[in-house]
Amino acid sequence: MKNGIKKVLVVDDDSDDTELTMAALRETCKDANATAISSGVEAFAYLESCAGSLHYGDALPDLILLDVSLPMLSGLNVLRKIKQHVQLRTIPVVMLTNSKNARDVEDSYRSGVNAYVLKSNDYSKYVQAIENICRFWLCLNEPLPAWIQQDNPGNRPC
Amino acid sequence: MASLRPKILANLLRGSAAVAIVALILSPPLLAVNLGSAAILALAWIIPIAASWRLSNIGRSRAAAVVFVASAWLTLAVPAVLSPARLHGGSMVATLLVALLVLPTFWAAITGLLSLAAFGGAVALDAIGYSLPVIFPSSNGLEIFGAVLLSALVLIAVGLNFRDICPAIRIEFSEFLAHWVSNESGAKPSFCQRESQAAKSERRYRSLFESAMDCIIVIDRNGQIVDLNHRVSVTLGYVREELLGKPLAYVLDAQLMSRMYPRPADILTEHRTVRGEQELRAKDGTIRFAEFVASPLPDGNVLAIVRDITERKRAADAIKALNEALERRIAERTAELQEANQELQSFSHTVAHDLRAPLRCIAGFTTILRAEHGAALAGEPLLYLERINRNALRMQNMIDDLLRFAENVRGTLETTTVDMRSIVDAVLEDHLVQWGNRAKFEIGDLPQASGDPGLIREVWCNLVGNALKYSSKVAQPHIRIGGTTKGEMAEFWITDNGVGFDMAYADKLFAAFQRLHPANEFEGSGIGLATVERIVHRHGGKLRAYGQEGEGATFVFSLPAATHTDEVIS
Repeated sequence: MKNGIKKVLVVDDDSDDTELTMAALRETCKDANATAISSGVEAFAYLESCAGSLHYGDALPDLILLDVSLPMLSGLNVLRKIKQHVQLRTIPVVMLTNSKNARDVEDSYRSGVNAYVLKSNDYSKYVQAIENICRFWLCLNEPLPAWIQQDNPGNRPC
Repeated sequence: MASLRPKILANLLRGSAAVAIVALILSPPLLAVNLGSAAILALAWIIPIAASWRLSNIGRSRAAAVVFVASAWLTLAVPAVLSPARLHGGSMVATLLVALLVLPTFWAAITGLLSLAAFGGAVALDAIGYSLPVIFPSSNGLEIFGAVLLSALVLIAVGLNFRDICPAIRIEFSEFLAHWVSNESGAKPSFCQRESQAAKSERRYRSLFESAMDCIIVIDRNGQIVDLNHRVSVTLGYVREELLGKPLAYVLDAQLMSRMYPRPADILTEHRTVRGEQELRAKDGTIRFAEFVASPLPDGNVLAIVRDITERKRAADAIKALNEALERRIAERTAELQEANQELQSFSHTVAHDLRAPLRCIAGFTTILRAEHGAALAGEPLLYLERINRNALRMQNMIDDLLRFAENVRGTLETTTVDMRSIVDAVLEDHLVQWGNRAKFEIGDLPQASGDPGLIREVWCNLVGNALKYSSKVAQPHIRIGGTTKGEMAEFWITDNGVGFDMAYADKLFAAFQRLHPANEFEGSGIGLATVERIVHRHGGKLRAYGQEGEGATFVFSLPAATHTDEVIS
């Protein structure tokens, strides 16, 4: 586990919700560097550019918080693209959404989501949820070592 | 005249012989059939004939004629009447009565006519001086005797067979006899009876055949039409002669031929009756639908009884089409309803999630504001923040309640026998922690009811919650709960000693979001009783409320009483 700042990518088209998430992140994870993007297309473009510039540093986010309902490229499609992408698919993706729709939940799991969390209407619970997510995925969970992540999968050592 | 008498008598006898010969030639089969009885009667006639001949020879021609005629009709009439009378099973007295009175008269007329004809012929021949020399060249006694015998035989034969010559007369005569003579049947049939029954049944068969409302077609082994009744002509538009001798295929469509099963030969060979449906082609080309029964006849033909069911089939088809149209329409409506239901569901989904999202922001930002800038907002601004926050929470609760209300009034009822007591106990348990010390609960008998346990629990939750809420201002809330069975319904009540309500507004109690008390006095969205009302109503029960301001309130609801066979689920 690396020391220092963790990169978190928040993808949500609702700017108020984004702001709440950012506030919660600021409050709970002092060493997290959060980036907010409001559309699926932009989010994936950003991730691809990160993957392309891997040689210049640890540019890939450590955690992606993804909303299900996004205009144009939906959260589910962003998820699918991430999980099909050779370099991006190892990044933990947590759905952070209002949708309790069983279909959305099922599709997310089938597409390889790492966790599915409902946004609580109670702000204090919301903060708590963000804190738990960060604690687990950023501190507790052991990520894939960076050198493997950066390697072309074809050259992976046996 | 006296010299003429023997000559007339001779000519009479010769004339009779001539008639007899003609009749003999004309009716050999009839004679053959009844030859036996005729021979016996002829022997019985020898005596009167010989007597009359003797009388004429000694010059008593009148006596001879009387004996001849009387013996003629008596010998003819008695056996003629006895056999049919006997065969119809008449009593002896009636038979004799008919034999002595009715038939002699009838036969006398016939034999009399024959004799008269012979006599007239003889007189006429005599008048022109012709004396039949070719047939009887001399008038010796033996020849005259032979002629008399022969004429007697013929008369007997003709007389006996008269009934056979004309079937109509024969049948009517036979029926006439039956009417007079018979009261019962079952006697052993004689030859005459068999004849008469066969004729009768032939006539009956014809009349049934022709007047039947169904088509009757008789076809032979090869499928050729042998006979058909009038109905066939009516149904198919052909004249009888157009179809006689034609193959059955003539009235079947070429395409339908292959479907004709089984063939007449099969029916005959296997000796079975076949039922089925068949399309027939009428003369004008229209197709008639028919059902048929085909069975073998003893004479080696096949009898087909065919019923035209075109109209019935058309009506059935129309009904079928109508039913299909109805079903299609129902399916369409169901699909529409399902779609509408789907829309409603997605609507409540929207309400549940999208509508609540802004509230989260309001509550969230006020919380952040208070936490991060609380110091700067001290005083009135902070109080306003509290208000904003409180209202956001209230709206959130309302939305939650509304969603629950929608869920409760939708969906299917899963009805079973419900143990009310355990449900009420479970509901009260939730409140005991908060109210155990202050409130007094009194629970009476609670009969079992039939309903959806989840929804009934919801009813009690709301009613108990309400009762406690509206009695929270009295020193010791007193909640009484009870129930009873009234016929097919079980009735339950809950009474509190709280603020009560004005009965004038009782109708507003059960409407969603309608409240009788200001929100700041008693919390709540005003949807609880509406939910209760909907649930009770869905179970086929009724909810009523009684109250008085300051005197508490009573809510009474009914549910279907439990049927004892159900398994009890608490």
